[in-house]
Amino acid sequence: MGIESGFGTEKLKSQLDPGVILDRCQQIVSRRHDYARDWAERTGGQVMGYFCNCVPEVLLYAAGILPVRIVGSDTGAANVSAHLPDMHCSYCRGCLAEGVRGEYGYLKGVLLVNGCLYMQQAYDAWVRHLQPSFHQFIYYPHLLDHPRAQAVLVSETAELRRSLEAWLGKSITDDQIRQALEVYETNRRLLREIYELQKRKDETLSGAEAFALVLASQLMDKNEQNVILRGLLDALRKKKGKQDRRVRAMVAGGPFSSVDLFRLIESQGVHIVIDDLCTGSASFWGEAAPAPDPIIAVACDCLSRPRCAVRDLSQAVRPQHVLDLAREFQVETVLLLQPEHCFIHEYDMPTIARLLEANGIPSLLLEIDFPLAKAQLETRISAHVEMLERNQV
Amino acid sequence: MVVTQLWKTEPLQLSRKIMEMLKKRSAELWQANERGELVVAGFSVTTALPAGFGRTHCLLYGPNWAKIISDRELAQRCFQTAEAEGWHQNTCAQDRLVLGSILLGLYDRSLDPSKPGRAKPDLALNVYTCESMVKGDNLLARYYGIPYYAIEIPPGPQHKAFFTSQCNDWIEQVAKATGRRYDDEKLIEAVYHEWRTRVLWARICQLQRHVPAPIDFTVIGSLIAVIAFLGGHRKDVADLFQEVLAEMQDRVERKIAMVPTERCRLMYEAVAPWYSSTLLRYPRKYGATYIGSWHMLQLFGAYNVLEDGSFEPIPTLEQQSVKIKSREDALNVLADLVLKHGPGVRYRCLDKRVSERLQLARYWRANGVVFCMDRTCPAQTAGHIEAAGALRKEGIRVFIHRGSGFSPAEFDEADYERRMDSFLESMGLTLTV
Repeated sequence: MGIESGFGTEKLKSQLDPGVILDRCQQIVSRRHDYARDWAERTGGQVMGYFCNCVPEVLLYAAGILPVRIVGSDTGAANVSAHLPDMHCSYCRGCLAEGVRGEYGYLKGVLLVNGCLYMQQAYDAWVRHLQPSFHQFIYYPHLLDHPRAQAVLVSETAELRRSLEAWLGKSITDDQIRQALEVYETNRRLLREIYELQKRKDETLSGAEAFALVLASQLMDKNEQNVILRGLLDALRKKKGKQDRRVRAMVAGGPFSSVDLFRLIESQGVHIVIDDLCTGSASFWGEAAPAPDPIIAVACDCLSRPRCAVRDLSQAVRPQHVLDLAREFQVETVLLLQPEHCFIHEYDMPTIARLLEANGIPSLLLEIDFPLAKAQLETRISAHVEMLERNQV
Repeated sequence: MVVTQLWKTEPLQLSRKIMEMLKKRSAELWQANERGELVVAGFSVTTALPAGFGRTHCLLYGPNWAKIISDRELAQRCFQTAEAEGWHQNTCAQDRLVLGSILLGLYDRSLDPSKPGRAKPDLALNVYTCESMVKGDNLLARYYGIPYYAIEIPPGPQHKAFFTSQCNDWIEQVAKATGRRYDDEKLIEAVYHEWRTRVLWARICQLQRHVPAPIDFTVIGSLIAVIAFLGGHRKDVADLFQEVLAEMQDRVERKIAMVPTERCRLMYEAVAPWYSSTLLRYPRKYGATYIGSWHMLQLFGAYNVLEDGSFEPIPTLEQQSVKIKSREDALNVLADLVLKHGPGVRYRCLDKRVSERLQLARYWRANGVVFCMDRTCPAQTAGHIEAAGALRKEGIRVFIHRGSGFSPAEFDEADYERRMDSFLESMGLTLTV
């Protein structure tokens, strides 16, 4: 895999203006379907969709397939009421809604890793009604810390490899997997370095811009993005931003794919410097442990990531991770973003809020559904910011 | 048209025994700590595992559950207390009720001043399919300061080793933590009984295909309570189910109905309300009866669905001449029960949630299926809408209402009754006399 041109990325290499680069990345997010179709046409490759961070997408990449994360849009999910009731998680409904609308018609397959029941239902409904050519449910245990869990991860990953090889009619070699792993690890490292810049107390990068970069990494060829990220990193390191007087904030919560949500939050005097979203930092945080067998390396990759709410069922480590991130990035407040009807995150929120409070970090819980209730969210966030500023004075 | 009695009817003779067993369980719980018997909080799909530690008690929702849930004001206080702590109204209603009762000091202490007592859990365990339960029981354990254990049920027998290794690890961990001795013979006995209970439950549900239905959902609810609160691993529970089956077979032969005016058969796809409600009895006014649910069958039953769509309970271990000689054998058999024939293979599968409901509706000769959309319970509601669509396509009538088996605030009884009137009248039914 070495796609370095297309969709304007060739031009971007020669343009070091971070604003232009960031703008084009945001375009990749907002025109993700066009990007994917363009990629397929350019390369002759196939595109598959996946629902969860833990899906071993690097295997697909090694096979010459572009893996794209299936995300919803900001327009709501009324069109899936015949499949998922409105009392089910809005994120899952949004993902299925995009599929039912035909936006993902270019996908040749979909994959899901064992997650929550709502996501399972969305995936099952997708397979049942949209009938992709390839589909696989991968059983990765929730309880990843059990000594036997790794054996399950490896056997399921090996099974996925066999299924893909059978579908493609060709083998996926160990070398291809190793090369793909290198691209992915580079991408993780570069994104982490970009996020590290947010520790600065200046306006180098808005939270919306950073989030768009991360989202784009899940929607585009990572090798292409690595080229962009290297250039961007150089430019941002040299850039001297104005001193940032906004409230430094973290957002934590369920999966969201809306850059507009970040923009809305930041329009109220907030600078989002870090996030704990599975579509955000949790998609790249951590470092995968190398392993001589590339299948083991792929399988154990999810062990290196922060535990999401559904993979933190019994250990309750996630609240501490949120607190650690908040401290590391010296945030003044944490906005807890609760996807409407997401029962898994609803259990975590009170514990996270209490832990933050006990450590002197105020938080604000916001329930989010799409289309966004902009006026309500703006009012609540601005009131919260006012209170924070008053307390500081 | 005035419809009078169509069938002979008698109450289930074993109803009294069922109530007595449940009352006795409550009484025994208050003495469990004193006797040094293991008290386990949390819901588990299989209750055989702790049995190796001797006499164990499933605390489940707490010994005061029946009192709390039947007192709407008290239940509402528990809900509000949990919500004030930050637990959203969308989270599992039973979890919120339990958490609220813990915070109010009602969970484990006797509410009868003349009979003081306490039933403190020693640990919390979920052998789980439902993530909500794990989250909720984890919180319970933290509030109580007791150890919490979760055993994940994988989706199918291909991961048997993962399941059995979790079970074995749990045994070793608890033995070490509590200093209790684990008796493999007791586990083996418990597995035999649990297998038998599940098979018997499937056979009991199978008999519901007869017209008239020998029991209705009110009896099914009480039998579910026995499995949930006492545990299917107990000999007396398995023996009770054997007796119930025998009585039901007798009722089938003599064509004894639970509802004497039965002319319409409905499935109820939800947990029946634990609080006082007319929900289950209301359709009787029209000669309609709730005969059971797929949800309850698959949760506690062991069966296969044959090619012709019939539901066939699996044979017992005795019938298969299976001999369990060791802990390893017992855990392997338990894994087969849960992963091949139990919720492990069905819970997460939309196709089975849809196809088996359709097949069961045909098998049970159901005229309609009622779905309760409980926003607090994804385990129940997952697949409801798809199943409703599939049933309608097959000409089976569908009724959907919002509610909750645990939270009366979620259930608009007047609206349900009004809409049920329309639903049943649209099926050509009139009020019976």
